[in-house]
Amino acid sequence: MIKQAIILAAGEGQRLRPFTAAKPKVMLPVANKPILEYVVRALAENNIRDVILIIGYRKDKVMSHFGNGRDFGVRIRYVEQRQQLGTAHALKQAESLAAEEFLVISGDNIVDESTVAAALAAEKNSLLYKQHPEASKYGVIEIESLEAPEDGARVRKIIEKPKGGAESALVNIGIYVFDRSIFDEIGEKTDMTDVLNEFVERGGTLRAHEAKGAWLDVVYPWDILSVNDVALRLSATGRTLAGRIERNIIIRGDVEIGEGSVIRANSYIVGPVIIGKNCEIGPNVCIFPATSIGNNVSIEAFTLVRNSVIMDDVSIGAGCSIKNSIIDRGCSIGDRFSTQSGRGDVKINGEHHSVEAGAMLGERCVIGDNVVTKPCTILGNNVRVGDVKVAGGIIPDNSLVW
Amino acid sequence: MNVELQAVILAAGEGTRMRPLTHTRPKVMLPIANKPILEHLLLELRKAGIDDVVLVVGYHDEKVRAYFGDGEPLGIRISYVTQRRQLGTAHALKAAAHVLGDRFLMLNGDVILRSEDVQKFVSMAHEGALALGVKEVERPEDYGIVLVEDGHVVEIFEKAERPPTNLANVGIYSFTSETLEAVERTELSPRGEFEITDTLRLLIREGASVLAVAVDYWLDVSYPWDLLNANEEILKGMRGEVLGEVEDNVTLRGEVFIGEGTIVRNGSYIVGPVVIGKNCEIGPNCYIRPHTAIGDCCHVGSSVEIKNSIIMRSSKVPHHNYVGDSVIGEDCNLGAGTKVANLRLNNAHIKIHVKGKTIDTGRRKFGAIIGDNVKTGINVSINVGTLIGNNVRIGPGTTVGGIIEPNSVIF
Amino acid sequence: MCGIVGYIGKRSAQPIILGALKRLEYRGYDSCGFAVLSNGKIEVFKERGSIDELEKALSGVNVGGTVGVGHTRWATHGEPSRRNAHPHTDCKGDIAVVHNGIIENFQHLRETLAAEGHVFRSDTDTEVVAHLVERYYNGNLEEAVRRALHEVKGSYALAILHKADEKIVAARSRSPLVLGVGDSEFFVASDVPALLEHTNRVVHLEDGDLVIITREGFRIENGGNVVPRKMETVLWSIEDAERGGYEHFMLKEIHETPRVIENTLATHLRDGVLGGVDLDLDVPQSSEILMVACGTSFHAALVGKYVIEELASVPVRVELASEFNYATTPLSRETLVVGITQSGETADTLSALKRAKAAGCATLAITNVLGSSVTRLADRIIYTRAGPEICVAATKTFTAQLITLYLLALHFSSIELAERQKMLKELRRLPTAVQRVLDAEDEIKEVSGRITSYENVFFIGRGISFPVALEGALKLKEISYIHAEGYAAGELKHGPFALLTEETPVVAVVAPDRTYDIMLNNIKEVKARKPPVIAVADEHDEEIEKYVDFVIRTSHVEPIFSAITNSVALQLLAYYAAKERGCEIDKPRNLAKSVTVE
Repeated sequence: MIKQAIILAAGEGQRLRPFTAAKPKVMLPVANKPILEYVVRALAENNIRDVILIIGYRKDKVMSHFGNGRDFGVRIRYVEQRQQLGTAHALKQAESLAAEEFLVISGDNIVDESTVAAALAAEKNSLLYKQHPEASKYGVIEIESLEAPEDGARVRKIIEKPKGGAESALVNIGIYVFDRSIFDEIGEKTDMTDVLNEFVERGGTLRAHEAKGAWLDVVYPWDILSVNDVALRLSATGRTLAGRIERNIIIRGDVEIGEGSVIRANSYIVGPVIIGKNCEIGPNVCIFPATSIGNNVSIEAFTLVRNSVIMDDVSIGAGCSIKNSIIDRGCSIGDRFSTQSGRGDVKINGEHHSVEAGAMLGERCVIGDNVVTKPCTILGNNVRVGDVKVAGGIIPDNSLVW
Repeated sequence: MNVELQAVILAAGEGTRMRPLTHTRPKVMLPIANKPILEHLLLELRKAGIDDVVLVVGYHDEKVRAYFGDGEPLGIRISYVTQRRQLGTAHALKAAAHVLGDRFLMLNGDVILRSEDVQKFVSMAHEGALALGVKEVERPEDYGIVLVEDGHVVEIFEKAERPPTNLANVGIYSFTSETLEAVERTELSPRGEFEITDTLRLLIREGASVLAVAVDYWLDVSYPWDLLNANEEILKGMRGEVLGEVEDNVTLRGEVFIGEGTIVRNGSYIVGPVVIGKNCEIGPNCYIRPHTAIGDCCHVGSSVEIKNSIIMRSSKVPHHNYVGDSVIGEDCNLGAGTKVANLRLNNAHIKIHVKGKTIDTGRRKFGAIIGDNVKTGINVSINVGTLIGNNVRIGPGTTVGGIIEPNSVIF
Repeated sequence: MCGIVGYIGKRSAQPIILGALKRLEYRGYDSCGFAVLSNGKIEVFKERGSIDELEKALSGVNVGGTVGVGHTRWATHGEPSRRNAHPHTDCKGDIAVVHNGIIENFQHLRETLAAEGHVFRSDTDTEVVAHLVERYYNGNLEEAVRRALHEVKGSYALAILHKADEKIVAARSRSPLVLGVGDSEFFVASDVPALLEHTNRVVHLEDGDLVIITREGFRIENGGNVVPRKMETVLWSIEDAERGGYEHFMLKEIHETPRVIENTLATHLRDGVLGGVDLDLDVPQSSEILMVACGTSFHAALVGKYVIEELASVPVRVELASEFNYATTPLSRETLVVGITQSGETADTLSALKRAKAAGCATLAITNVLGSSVTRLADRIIYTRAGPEICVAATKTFTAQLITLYLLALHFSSIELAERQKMLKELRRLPTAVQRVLDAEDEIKEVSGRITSYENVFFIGRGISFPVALEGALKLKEISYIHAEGYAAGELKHGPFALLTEETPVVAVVAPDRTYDIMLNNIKEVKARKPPVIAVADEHDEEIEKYVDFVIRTSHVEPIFSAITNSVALQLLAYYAAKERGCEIDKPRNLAKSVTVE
């Protein structure tokens, strides 16, 4: 019986900048919880309490949040991968702590308990896959046949990021069942796909099982919005109120409001919405579906927020309109900030993407009064924008828009 | 048979599923029919001839100590052992090892058993046999499950999605000093606890024989709304008695117990089984329906209807209120006209969302779980399935639902 | 500064005493020992070094016995050695004594006792207590202790065993001591964490208390009368103190700073945007504030002086508590006296507050520990919400003290609402600002490599950055053992210039406030003497890099809050310097977490 999980949580998530400049991808908040927390909780639900976290990039963020794991119902030990050379190399770091049999799971993706359960039901040397419409972003698996799906199918080959457009195919979702012999297979190799392909070529049996539960991936900054939306619906929190709710506030749908927060009179909130601790919101603020607001956020009168992710310690002035936008922690936004939302072209690492979104602001941006951002604007970390400016495109870290 | 048998009772846990009711008391102190769960259990133990009990306490141990003291009023000698960190059942037993003899019983403090069943274990213990209690259950996936062959335990499973049998481990054991020694060797479980089931598994692997003994009666509560079923179950067996004052024109039907110093005023209509504690003021003109337990020093005023509910001590349901299928903690005050809904318009089962999970209470009728020291204004409407934490304030005319965290203020 | 424990009950005393001592190691760790009453004999075991070494020396042997006392020591009288480790015994080895505190008249007592024929085996002040008790012992231990303490002057927490009695007699005077109440078992200890494993029911003993503990119960006397004392239930748990993946507690605690700031603000800023600071404080508007503190808390007080004078225009004096107690500083009844002590047990600060109370002043304490001595002494308490701090060097608690002092300044202040709201908004953004300093720790780590090879470092600053420089120097010297000196930048030319060479790096703390230009001048003067200069400066400061060799950039905040971001950067600098030098960071040599002797 598998009792241990090794979580790979060392990567940066470089395509997610500016949001990963100060935190690893696994610590991106989705519905006010870091992605990795979904993984840890899904493990705990399946009674996997022995957790080894492979950490690297900005590891302190992971350690500060999870500590010894006690608050999450697991016991966590940390192993550092000093250089992010590949997933097989990452796993190898845990060799001395690994049990006889264990689960390997990527900390990058939101999974639910049924996905973990599917892995636990599989025999050793298995991986989980999912049918995915944009297979070219992932490792595509070729399998022999699928006559008895519950036994899984033998894997013939894994092809990493196949060229040939966005076709639907079976993709490897980075959840494996192994025993200690995997460390011999890894040897000096660093990439998991290489390790597994070689293993199969030598006649080894690697089985693939379909993950029927949730599996959500964030690759680009704007993905945070859609994943936040799905996660808010998935977590179905019902209504949890805390803090101080003043008069004449309409709350509809699933809404969670954290301890110590104040919602002032005449505000209108339609769930799914989650609001963290010690926030001050309103009066007369409208918050519309699929919005997550972190801790210690203040939003002044007559501001509207829709389908957005606002992280911790953000202050937003009066009369703003924030739609389809992501605002990282510590931003300070003046009055009447308006994010235009719509389709735009964004170039990341030389690739062009046609995206529909509002604004994406890195940490600690300072925005003056009456600022407008064009659709799909990305502001780096610590960008300052003066009063009455229109900003657009990708603005690098520490810029001054004056 | 003259050797005095000790029973060690595990009463240290919080019972997190019972929140908000367990914010200020351990699970074993939750009242059913006006007595803590643990008191029901102790009374049955005494009937079974046990008068030497060791309570392992931890979470809010002061509440347990203050209520039971040395056990004198119950006719039981109670001593205490503190388990500072709740690291599992075996760990709890280990904490008590230095005061235990060769043969003893161990019980979970949050279940209610009958003396006849306890008696079976007393005999087992006198013989120095290892035994654990089992009972068939309908939803085995909610319990630890035992695999039995020829009356002997073969394997014990944690909660599992597809349990191999429907025999649940009820939490009563006959142990010997050999068990204590095995506890020392028990290793940390994957969830980071020392568990008595692991100890037994260890003993079984080493060839010891552990008998599975069926118990006939077992009342187990895990969620707050389970208290309502348990309350109903216990009240069904109670006898009525009037120790307080009952004015003219009061109707008492069925078994109604009215405590000392309580006054039931004119026009009140009470249908048993109902238990009302000491020094309460009931009525005039209220309607108290079956399966209701009202603690000491409560006030139920005029034009109030209460059914199938637990109202803890010093709470006030004073004017024009309706409370159905609900639990109300200590020191609460419902404003005039505050009402609790207990039935969905579509008659469906009432579901609760806790920490991202949806739990079906299995009840069509379920009102609210209200913690301690909650105050509501006039005409507050509390929707079905609402959980309200301690010290919450709700302003006049407000409608509330869902989960309201402790110390919130809602206007 | 030492830690003592005692146990009496039904369980084996040795593992309980050793476990409890481990939780007191922060109070001292140069030697340790314990004594148990076993088969009518007192058995004593002691060792130089930590509890681990003592356990190693015992190699798994349990000497038995269910009554015992133990001690972990930080030498005040007599060098750290096995001979000077506690427990100390009388001539016959019938009596065992553990002690935290200082017996002031021990020299005199020792001479008298030696003259009477008592044979001393250690250099400690404590041993006189053992011989005094022996002198008066007449079959009744408590009577002997009572009479012995009549002759003793000084501070003490004592726990005493006699071979003929299954009991512990403990006493307290100006050193902390708590009694833990278990189930038919009792504990005494210098501090609550030692007991938490076994009980959360404690009685905080008071000065002059003598407690006689048997398995059946305890009796507390004061001045010969039995006195009632309140039993309290402790609410925090042992798990609050684990390293959770970090290499050192110090690094973990620095990284907790953003959360500590959030917690502290959340407690006091309910309606922050509307301008309200809620300290739940009804202290009178005073014409003057006097702050007393020691060590790092003293530096927090110096920052507090600057902030309160700036925002509230109330004159503030800051005194080192250890000096104040021996000065004849006049105290006016109009003065509000604020004592700052993380542990709430710092002896000097407690004495200073006592003196202030006696003079009729209103007193306010800022502390991190619920139920500590200072909370029973001061009229008003503000708790910092930093959680337990294990590393001896204070980091997150210092920042929490600063945040509290900012809030106190706003509480007293009558600045315009608009200005106030701006401040509060900025306060709310501080957690992120500090987080950004932490995110840049790799750069600080690199810079730290520039100072580790030197033997002397100067830290300079002006205005609010002066106490920040003092604290930066303190951090560096206490954990990296590099000699560091904090100086007001304008004072360098009055002496220290003579010491500046290419071998003495200077760390300049620069805030973008009214001191900025003159600070640049000071840096130029320094640079003329060729030392390597490292500046800690605002990220938007583009001027500074022209004048210095390295710049540690900290997040841009309102200048008045730069003390927070800059001091966190200096904490990291000290940490990485100490790490590079291979120092034992969480338990620096010769230092103890809370200093309960004067």
